[in-house]
Amino acid sequence: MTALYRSLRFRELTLLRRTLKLRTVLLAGFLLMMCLTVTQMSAFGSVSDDDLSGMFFGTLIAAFLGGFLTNAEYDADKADEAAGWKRCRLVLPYSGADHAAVRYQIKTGIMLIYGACLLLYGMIVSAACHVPFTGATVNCYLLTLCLLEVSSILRRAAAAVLGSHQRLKRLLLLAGALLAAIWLPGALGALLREERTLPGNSDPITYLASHIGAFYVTLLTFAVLCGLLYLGKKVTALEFDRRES
Amino acid sequence: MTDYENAIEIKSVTKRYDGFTLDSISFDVPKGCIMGFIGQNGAGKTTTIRSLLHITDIDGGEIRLLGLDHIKDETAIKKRIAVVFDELPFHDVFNARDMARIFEGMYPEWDNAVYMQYLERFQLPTAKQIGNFSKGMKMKLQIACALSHNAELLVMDEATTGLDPVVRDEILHIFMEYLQNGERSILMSSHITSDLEKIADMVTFIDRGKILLTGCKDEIIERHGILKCDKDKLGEIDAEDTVSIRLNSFGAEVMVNDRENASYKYRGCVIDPASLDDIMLYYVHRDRKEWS
Repeated sequence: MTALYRSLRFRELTLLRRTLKLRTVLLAGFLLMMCLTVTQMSAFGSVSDDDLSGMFFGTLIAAFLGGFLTNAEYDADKADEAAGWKRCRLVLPYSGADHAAVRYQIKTGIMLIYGACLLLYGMIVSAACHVPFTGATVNCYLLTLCLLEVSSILRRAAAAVLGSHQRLKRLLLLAGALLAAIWLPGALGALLREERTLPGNSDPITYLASHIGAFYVTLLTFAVLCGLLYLGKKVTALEFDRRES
Repeated sequence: MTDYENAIEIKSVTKRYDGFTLDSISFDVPKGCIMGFIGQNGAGKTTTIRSLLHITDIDGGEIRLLGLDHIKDETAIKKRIAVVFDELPFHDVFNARDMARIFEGMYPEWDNAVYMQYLERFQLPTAKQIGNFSKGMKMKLQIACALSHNAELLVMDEATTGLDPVVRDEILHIFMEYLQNGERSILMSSHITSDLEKIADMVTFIDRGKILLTGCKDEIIERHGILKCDKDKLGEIDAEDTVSIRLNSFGAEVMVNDRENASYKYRGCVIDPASLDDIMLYYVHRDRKEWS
């Protein structure tokens, strides 16, 4: 099993080498730029409220970006489909569960590395601005990972049941648009109501940062992510084992 | 390891698609033999191969490979077989050395020394990306990978299609070498019958999802013949002796299904030997009986 997993890991990593390099450079560049900006601002004295809100939203963007950049599996799927490996895989002596296990090992590894980068970034920014951004960064990152995993599970489950990814693309776009149309107005309304109930003695950014970055949110999203990753691995194995029609 | 008589046993296998049915086909590939699987494009060769490799599920029937059930014992079977597709299914970013690293963990009997020997023999570079290989090089690489894990059964789907005669000949020669120990078997689908005429021990003809003929290649060739006669003599030829009749401006050419019998029965006519190509052609037109 170890030799098989080593082979599969080598295959996946070689396949993703280029895209992972690009993604890592992009994330590192963005985080470095943000860190430099924050440290520069704090070096010139106190940080204004406008700067602080800019930093807060920059931090959220960094967390979302980090989350999105972990999602390299789609590139591997596309490459497998283009090369004809999807058919070849069905005649090779390994199961969909083996392939899915390796895919999720790599995925988890990337999540941990990017997560560590974001944690470090959050700590630097928090120290520079004197606002607790670390929790918010980590939680936004975890939340993004959860959302991406849900979309990945839906895509794979639909592919396992219905057919190829190509046929599903339009269907999923439509479903996504529908979901956004239903969910967005409610979410915006809730956010606006939330802002109106801000406690008088705290500035909005500190309040939002500590609210989003609460430790119970970290625990909750982490637990949900673990469950989703487990489910995702099972669904991926099912899709990999699916025979051609 | 199981002992088996037939490397492949296909019994009443049915697979239905929209507009095409693989219609209860049955044939065996005995151990140690090269079976040529012949048919025109769309006849059902690839569907049969996909079914026996469990790339697709079948709607009915039974398939046994190396004496094992093709679904229940799938993983055990896959360690002992090799498949060569018509197109190389490896990613362009890999090189030949990478492929060895990938396959050595998958196949317990993968032999790097044998693989390197094949690469050397085929003059394939080890560090060059596969994306920069020619079609012939790609096919050679696929064959090198297929032959390097001591597979007992080699299944090839149109593997020689699109290759030049020199490369085809080189590859066919290697297949013959591969079979020399008598323990290995090959199922080779192709519509290039000249390749199969060179190396196959047995042939199976498929057309429109049905098996028309299966058996020893030499016997099939021996049994069939092309009887040449004038059009006005066609009436004297029994329908049961003929596969189909090709009409031309000089007369008629009749494919007879028992050459020896026909040579006694129709003494005035010339009967030429038939090639696999001829047999395929006349059988494909069997429903029309007369064609030109």
